[in-house]
Amino acid sequence: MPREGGVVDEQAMKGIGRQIKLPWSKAVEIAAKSMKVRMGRSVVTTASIVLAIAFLMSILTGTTLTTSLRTRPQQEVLRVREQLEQVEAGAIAPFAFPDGLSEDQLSREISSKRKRAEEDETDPLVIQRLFDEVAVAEAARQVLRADTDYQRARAMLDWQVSNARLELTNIENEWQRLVRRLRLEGVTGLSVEVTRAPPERGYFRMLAEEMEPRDRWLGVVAVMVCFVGIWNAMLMSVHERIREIGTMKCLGALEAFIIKLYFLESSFIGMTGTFMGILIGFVLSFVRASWAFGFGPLYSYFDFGGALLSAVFTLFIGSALSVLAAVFPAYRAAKYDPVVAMRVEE
Amino acid sequence: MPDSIVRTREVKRFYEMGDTKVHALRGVNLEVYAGEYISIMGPSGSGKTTLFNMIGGLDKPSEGKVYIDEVDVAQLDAYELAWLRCRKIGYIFQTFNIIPVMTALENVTLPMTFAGLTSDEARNKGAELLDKVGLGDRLNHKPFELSGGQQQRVAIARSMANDPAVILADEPTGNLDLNTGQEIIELLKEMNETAKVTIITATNDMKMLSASDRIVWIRDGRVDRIEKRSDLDIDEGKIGGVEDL
Ligand SMILES: Nc1ncnc2c1ncn2[C@@H]1O[C@H](COP(=O)(O)OP(=O)(O)OP(=O)(O)O)[C@@H](O)[C@H]1O
Ligand SMILES: [Mg+2]
Repeated sequence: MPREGGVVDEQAMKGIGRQIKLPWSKAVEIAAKSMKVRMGRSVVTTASIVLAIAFLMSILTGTTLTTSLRTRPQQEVLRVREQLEQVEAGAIAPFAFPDGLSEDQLSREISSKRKRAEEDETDPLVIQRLFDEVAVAEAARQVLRADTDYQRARAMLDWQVSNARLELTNIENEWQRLVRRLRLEGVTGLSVEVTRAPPERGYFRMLAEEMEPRDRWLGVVAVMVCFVGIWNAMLMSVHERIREIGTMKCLGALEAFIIKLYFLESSFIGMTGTFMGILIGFVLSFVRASWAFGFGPLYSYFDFGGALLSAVFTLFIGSALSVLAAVFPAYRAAKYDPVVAMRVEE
Repeated sequence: MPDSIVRTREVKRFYEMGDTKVHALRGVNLEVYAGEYISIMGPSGSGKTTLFNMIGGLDKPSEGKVYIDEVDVAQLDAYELAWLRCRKIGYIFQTFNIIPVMTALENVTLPMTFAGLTSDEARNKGAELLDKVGLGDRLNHKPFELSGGQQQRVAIARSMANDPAVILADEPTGNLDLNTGQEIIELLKEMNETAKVTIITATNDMKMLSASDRIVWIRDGRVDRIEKRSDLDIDEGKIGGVEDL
């Protein structure tokens, strides 16, 4: 601003100062106060953000959970298959022989299981497992009966192999059951036969490849709902406080301070909503997935990293949205001419 | 000659409304001296609020100059203006404009916060000011728990927060009944006498003129005439120029 030299000197002499910038802590204090009082409305706004974020989170977590269910068991099958090969080659002996087994007990177990497998069971998966368990028990009986160290060593090797087979059977059975459930849920492109390792890939690659087109679309809508929700809430908040803003300016508030106030309010609402949304979204999708696939497999193949990344990603989106959506309303509040503001009838 | 605290020189303010120009102020020359109590009288639409906005640094003249403490307001940047509004000028409004989410004390300490006082300093000073306006026992009341008169007292305490040179009160009694209004005027007069703060008020009401040192009559955006208190026959409630209104 061009000034005449004389004017500057005069003003300096008369001592017009420059308004200080207030620290964030003051803005936090005042924003917190106004939010506490306006809790009712904040709750309503927050609710819409919670819903949108919960929705987004459940889409992301849902994809993560389903993907972990279809990839992790396959990895497990391959691992156990490899283990079996190594046991058969005598390279490793991963199973510890239990103490306190008696021959009588084993014999009874063998005959009852064999009988069940031959007479009662109809499910081929269960029959297979029963036969494998019989084999384990028979091998154990051989270990107990061994007279020489050599016989005992042979029997122990058998026992290890039959244990490894049983484990493989179990894991393959579980995989087959999961495949059935996943197919029921509309997941396609699954094969009961595990022939090669599922792809190792990062979280976002996984999302890009595994997310259903419908979910992708819904996710975008959720993000937009969230954005518009915060935007609208902040505009309302500015509108109902035009006078208050004008008054604050008359009392010496700088524009930067008003902007800080609105950013803080928006971030706070956004953050609370986002945190609650993440929690609710996670719980919902977990409950839904365990309804569809069973809690057991969901728990044992739970992809902690993926769930965490979903939460972090959602948190990032929620926070970015609350900041972005506050830009225009905060700017508008700060620029409000106090003269106009004071003319507004309330 | 006493120091002039507010000086306006040929202040004009017009609003462009499409093709027509609305003249709110048509050239106001006014000098207010430090420590004075001035009332600005004029019919509705005569430009009182517009003039207040000029003096208060809330609006800039279309033409002419406004000096506060001999500083040309038009030359100030945003930071200097905020400083001016915060420390040199106290505002009182017809509608009180107490910030509804804050207690009486918080309202009074807000300008102090803007001026950089610590919370403790502000709290002590705020309590003292509220005590002075007779609300020593209402520090933590919210505005909706206070009557209009009490809210205006809070506003007076708030306007005094940073020991301003001038208090601008635009129809401070406009929303109050006669008695309460007179109490507010008395309180303003008291502030004027004890704290030596210059007071400029606008009013429509003859009965609110008794405290004034001078009365500035404005009409149609111009200063019509200025009367000294000594010229007036206030006790009788008859003031020269009533018929002119
Ligand atoms: N923003 C604006 N746009 C157009 N005209 C305006 C604006 N502000 C004020 N005016 C006009 O300026 C004139 C003076 O208005 P002002 O508010 O100063 O009057 P006043 O003396 O304060 O009246 P009152 O006693 O009713 O408060 C009026 O004719 C008004 O219509
Ligand atoms: Mg007015």
